[in-house]
Amino acid sequence: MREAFKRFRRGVRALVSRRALDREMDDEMRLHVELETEELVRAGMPPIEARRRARLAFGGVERFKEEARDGRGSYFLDRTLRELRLSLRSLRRNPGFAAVVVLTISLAIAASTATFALLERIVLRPLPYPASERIVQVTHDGAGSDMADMGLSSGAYLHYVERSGTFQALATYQETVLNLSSGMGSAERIHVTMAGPELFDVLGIHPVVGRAFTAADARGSFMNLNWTIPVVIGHELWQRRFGGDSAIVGRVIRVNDRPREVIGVLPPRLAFPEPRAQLWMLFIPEASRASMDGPGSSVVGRLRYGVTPATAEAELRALLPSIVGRFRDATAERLAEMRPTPRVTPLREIVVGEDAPVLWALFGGVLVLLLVAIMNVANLFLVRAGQRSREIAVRRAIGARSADVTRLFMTESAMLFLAGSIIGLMLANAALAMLVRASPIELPRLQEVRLDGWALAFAATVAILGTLACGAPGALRWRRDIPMDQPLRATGAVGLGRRGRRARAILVAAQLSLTLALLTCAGLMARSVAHLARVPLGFDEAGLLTVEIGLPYAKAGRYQAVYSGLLQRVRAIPGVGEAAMASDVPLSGIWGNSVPVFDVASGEGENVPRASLVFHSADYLDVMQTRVAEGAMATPGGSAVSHPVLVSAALSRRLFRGGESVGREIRRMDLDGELDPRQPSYTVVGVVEDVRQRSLSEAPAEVVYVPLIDPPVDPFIVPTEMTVVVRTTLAPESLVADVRRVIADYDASLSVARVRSMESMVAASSARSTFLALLLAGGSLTTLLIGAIGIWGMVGYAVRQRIAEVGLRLALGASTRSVTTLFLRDALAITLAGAAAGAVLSLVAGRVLRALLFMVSPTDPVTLLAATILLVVVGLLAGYLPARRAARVDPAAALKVE
Amino acid sequence: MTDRADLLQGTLDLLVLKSLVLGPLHGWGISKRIRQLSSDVLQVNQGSLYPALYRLEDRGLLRSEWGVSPEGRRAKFYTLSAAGRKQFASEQAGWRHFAAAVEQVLEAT
Repeated sequence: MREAFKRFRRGVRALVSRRALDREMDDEMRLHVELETEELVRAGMPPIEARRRARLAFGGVERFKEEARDGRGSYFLDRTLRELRLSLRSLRRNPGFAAVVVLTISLAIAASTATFALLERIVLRPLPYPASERIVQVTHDGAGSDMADMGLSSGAYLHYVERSGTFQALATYQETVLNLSSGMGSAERIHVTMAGPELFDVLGIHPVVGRAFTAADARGSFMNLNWTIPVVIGHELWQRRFGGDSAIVGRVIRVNDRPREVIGVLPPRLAFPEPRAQLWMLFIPEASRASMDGPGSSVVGRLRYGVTPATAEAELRALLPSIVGRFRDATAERLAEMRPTPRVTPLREIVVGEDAPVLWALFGGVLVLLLVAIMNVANLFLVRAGQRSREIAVRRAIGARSADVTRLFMTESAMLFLAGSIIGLMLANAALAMLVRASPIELPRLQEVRLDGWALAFAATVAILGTLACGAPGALRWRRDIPMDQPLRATGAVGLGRRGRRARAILVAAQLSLTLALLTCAGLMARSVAHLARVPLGFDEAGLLTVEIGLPYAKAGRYQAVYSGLLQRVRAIPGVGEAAMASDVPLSGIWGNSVPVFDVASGEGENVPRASLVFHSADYLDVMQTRVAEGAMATPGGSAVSHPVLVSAALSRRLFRGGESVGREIRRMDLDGELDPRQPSYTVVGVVEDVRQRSLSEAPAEVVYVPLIDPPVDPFIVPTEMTVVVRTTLAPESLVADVRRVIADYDASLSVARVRSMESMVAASSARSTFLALLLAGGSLTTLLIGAIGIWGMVGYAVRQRIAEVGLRLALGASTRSVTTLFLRDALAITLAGAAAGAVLSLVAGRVLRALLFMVSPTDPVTLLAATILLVVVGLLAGYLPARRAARVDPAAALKVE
Repeated sequence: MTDRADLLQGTLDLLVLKSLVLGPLHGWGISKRIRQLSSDVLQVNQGSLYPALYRLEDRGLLRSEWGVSPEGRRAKFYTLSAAGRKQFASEQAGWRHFAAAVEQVLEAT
């Protein structure tokens, strides 16, 4: 290896300083001739004759210089350069071939490398924790409990911690959003993880400054009011709000107005469970208040070395029955009713989740595409090799060795693959950049996706294998000594056998069927996106800015005054038309508390629906331009009834089943479904048109609109997290700075979280579908193009093979049309075969997509038909071009060829 | 390359190495010494001498240096390197072995 490198370096040097070396060689050889001449003269020969003899003995100087260079090691590179020039010249004479090959290769490399990068970065790359394969999530699947996705109950967690032997550590965590009012800038709402003391042990993260939670922390008690609860902060938060101050450890900061002690800072770019988490607050599950059922938290664990998730799962399953009797509610009956099943899942599966199979499927599809593309190119090379039989024969006749011919084909193949790879990588890079920009935030780790060393290695491997696959057929064809007189006399085309042609036709048809399936999927997604764009939102998103704010608990008693004062200030900003606020605005991604609500007249009954309570300022619905369909909006003080509320049309339908809504009384329960006797009943004064509250594709939410009036409609709930909505005629984003400043000036203790335009929230809501639609559209059009090239190459090949026959037909009076049809028939047959197989494949693929579709059936006939028509038209067009060329051939010239 | 070329090449290398054992020489000097030592039997084809020299230098068996020849001309002198001496010893032994074997075969008749 080192020797090879040294040789290479010497070769390069020899090449670079070739001029100097040549001069030296000249000098040396001239000296030789001169000395030889002198010797001959000394021996008595006349000088002129002596010089001639000396020259003769030396032979052709140039020839020996060439051989001497060979000895120098520059020969290899020298020759390679010469061959490159040769190939370039030869390709320039055939630009169509070169263009099609480079186009095919670059598309295939772009598609496969981009997909590989996605797969590698999102699915294959381990999580950024040491020995991350041992980190698992522990949950209960509970058929008889509503807490199915809630992780583990505190009782189950404590039970497992105490009894299990397969885990090194188990830690609870829960996500929440809290106000941070320390550090630089005004108060801010940040994502906080309530972390069990073992969380960082489980993850294997060590803070860069300070320390993680310890066993001593875990012995603290939340009952002890003098204890300052420790927190660990994220690196980004540390830099941004605390200026990267190394004295941060030990500092007391205020989170939700309570003192918390910073004990450590995490390394950069590490956050758990989501990248948005910025602060980890110690949370200790307390044994005295634990229960088997009831609200739980997510649990991650680190398996002991050598333990598989399945083993751990079996152990937990065996341990579960012994929980009976350990907690108040842990009875055998309740356990039998809940039927919880422990599940231990590698954390990576949770993070990557449902996207892994999609990406694997995509990658599989792309590999097929790649294979087909390379076979297409290899076929084109084979056709070209056939055409070049004369050239090769001449080369062989004047002394080219079979290794030279092999090198000729390989150089050409390598050059085209190199060009295709470079273009392909640029395309892949652009495509990835676009995907990352247009991405839905939900796709995990997408922001990390880029063309890295692995992706480049992948592309290089593809290019090298492709070069060999495409260079080999030509090289092999000419390896054996062929009778030289035959190709020298005629252009005897070298062809595929019957079986070869058949295999090729099947390959092209298979590729077309894949293309149709992809086209159909892209069409289905595109139609879903179009439907999503037309969904009646129930509000006007244009010109709306939303600002999420949080009220410190200390001011909760005066919330009405604080809010109305704030709204007055915001309305005074130039450019602001109206401003209002609500505890829960549509498509914000925050789901307000939903509580059971029932019609007082009909009583509680069995299935009490849950409705979201939206607390809002008086003119909120006006600002949103959400219509009140029935009744009237409740105005401050103007309401004749006590506790007036409005309900959404969906809730009205559910509760009153089409009956009169206005004037009806409803009651709410608390979160756990308990009825508080002190809770007053609400009076419905109006029905609000349906609004897409959670997402564009979900059914309209069932909402109770609770006006913020005095006296409060609901005395037991203080809405501390509100979203201000501002309607403006300007671009909403242009107001961001003003709004932030006004809020900070008004009351610096109000925390401000996200400030977004409603239009961007609507766009984000369909981002996942848009992303998939884009991905599929790009993939399917690439496949279509490569498929078209496949047909083009195949028909072109057939035309070349049968050119003499065509000439004969034309000479005998065949029409241009009949000749075109002759070749087009093959293209049509293959396209139709591909389409038929593709239709079946489309139906299967559509089912896979079903969960992502909106208002489109997975077997939508219109989409399938449109995709099929597109495929057939493109297929015929690709076949038509070479077929027409055949029909236009000059019969005399065609006949002469044979 | 044919087998014959290989054989010739090997022999030439041996002769070049031998001619340099006695001291540095330039290209023409090498060809002259081989001619002298073989009593004009072995005529080195100059066209293959220089490729051989470059090849041997490339393999690190020879070193070259520009200097002034006894004739007062600027010339490139070749010297045996340590590796070259070793190579010469082993090639010489190999050749003697080979020649003795051929001789033995011829004697046998």
